[in-house]
Amino acid sequence: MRIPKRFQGIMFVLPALFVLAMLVFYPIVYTVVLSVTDPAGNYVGLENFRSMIDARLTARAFWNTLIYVGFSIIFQVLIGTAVGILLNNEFWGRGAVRALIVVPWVIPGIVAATTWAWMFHTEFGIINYMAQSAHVIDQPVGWLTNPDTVLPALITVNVWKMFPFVAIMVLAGLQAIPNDLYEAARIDGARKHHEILYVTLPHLRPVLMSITLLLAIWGLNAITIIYAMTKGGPANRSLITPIQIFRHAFEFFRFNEAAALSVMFFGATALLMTLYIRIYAEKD
Amino acid sequence: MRRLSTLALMAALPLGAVATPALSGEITWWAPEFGEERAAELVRRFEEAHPDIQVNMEPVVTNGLQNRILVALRSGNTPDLIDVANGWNIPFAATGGLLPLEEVLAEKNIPLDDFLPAALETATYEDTLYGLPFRAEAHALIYNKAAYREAGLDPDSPPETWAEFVEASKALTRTTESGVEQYGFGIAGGGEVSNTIFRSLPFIWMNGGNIISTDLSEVGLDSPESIEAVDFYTSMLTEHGVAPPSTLENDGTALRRLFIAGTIAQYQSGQFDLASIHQENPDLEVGTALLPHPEGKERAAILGGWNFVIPEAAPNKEDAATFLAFLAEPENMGYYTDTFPARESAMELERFQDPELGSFREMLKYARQQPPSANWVQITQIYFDYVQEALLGSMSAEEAMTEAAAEIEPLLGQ
Repeated sequence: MRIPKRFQGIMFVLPALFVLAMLVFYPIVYTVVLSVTDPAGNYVGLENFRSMIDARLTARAFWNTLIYVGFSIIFQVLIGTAVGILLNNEFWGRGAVRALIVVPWVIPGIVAATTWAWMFHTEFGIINYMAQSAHVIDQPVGWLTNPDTVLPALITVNVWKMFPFVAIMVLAGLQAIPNDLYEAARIDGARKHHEILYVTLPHLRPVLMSITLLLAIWGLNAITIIYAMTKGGPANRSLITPIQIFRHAFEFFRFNEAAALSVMFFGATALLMTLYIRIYAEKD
Repeated sequence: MRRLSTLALMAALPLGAVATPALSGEITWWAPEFGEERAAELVRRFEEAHPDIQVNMEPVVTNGLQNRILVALRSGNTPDLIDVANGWNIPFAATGGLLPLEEVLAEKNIPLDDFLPAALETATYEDTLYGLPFRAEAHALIYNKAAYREAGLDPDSPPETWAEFVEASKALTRTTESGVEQYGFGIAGGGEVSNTIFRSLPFIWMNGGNIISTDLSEVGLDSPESIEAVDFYTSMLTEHGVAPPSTLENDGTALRRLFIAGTIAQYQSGQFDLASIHQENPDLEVGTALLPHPEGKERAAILGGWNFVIPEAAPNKEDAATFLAFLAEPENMGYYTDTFPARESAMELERFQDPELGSFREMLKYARQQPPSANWVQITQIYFDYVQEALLGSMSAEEAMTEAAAEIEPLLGQ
């Protein structure tokens, strides 16, 4: 059998497209179907959406998610970029430091989170122990139990976990900047901080943009750190939307409501990402 | 083309492997991994006595187990025998996925009147028995005898009533001679929701309140009795300061560690904690007592435990029943349980005569099952959220429980 030439290409990608459709579109379509039906499969319109919007915790969880992801990204990018630039310099033991720096990123999230939870513990935690020994604080601080400190503590762990990724990507981006640009700048009398500001950072922009996008997508969907450390507590002060979805689906077995919340969250995330890409694209 | 069909065959192979039906004479048993060694030993003994039946014991982790079993029951792809926590039994039965056991047990001559009535209730749905309890336990008070003496209390007569208990906890809250900040009573306020339920709901029951009524028709959390009990629990931290500052992140495990470290002098738990306390701090003089009760009222406890169930879709129900009958024999049940057996006759075994277990055994008499509501997980999550609010001090116990009750109300009719 001969296949016309213009269909040959399509035939080749068809199996891959089929697998992709099963893996990606089927779950999405199924989630949407779940979100407008009841457990028996009857169509209920927007009922599930209404009950999730009315739920006391939905707004708080969404707000917490924005704060958690937003501040995480800011510090991940700032610290990651700085470390990346530092590691690009020649110094003794650079190889060892480069290897060590990725450790947080490589450790499984659940292990890291559980360890951090113990370190932050009011009574046994090494953080309180050190701070008290150094007389920084005189009473133990309930890092994970005080509504004012719980989100910053979780953001710290998240930043610690992901900044190495940013550093590695930035390092890779730096290697791609031709050396003559720096030489030219130096000839024009540029100092180190001028080089970073006017040569390095502008060239890193495309890298940083993709990194930020990735961090945002991962951050919005991640539940490991918070779920393992506080489960959203105390009294939901660190509840984020992904955990709320998880609770409704796998703890309360209310898959339809969970699906409705997922669809809304998916919409909000998609909107944010589109805006981000638009704004960035316009600038270029 | 031939190559393509071979390829398709290979792709389909794993599916075929999964769907292989169990052979007769072979059963699969899901047992929690914490009892793996004893389960393996029981399987060995059983296979010796029944050479024609082979038992595949699969140790399962308890984290996420409820969900895993539920998925198995719904899909119909189940093992032949499963250990389930007694709180899951009725919700599983409600899905229609479990085999009614009365006839099976009658056939195997297992006398149901030998079992703890409260334990059987955890397996009874719409007047039909869907599980066989094998393990039963209740919390008691665990305390540090040396701390009692140092605080001027008598270690041989622990407090009986709530008022006495608060006084004792206050006396125990002090800086010890060795410079340790000691707290009188460790309560749970963090971790998995069930940690706090098991430690606070008994107080609500004792006082004549409830979260929801036994017939699941009413919310009782905003009654004065319930509010008073929740206030008794949360004020340990907020008013009396006898619970450690870490209360909101403490679950059962954290409490045990704090007790071993000498940071807390009393806490509630099951007998399963005793072994690790003795092992990690052999010098600690452990006392056990009944939970304190409100003046003039009866004590109460939550009945914890595990049941055996046979799924309706089990491939080999007949042999599963034979194995179930073997496991239900008093000496096997007494050997398998981590705490107490659910059969009175198994209670006579040497292993359960340890005087240290006396209080836990006594508390079993006061133990009741948790309300068998299909929405219990969601209801307790709401309750837990508001207990945390009260512990944070952002709401009084009364405000918190009134709001919790209002939020639980719409879940009752479903």
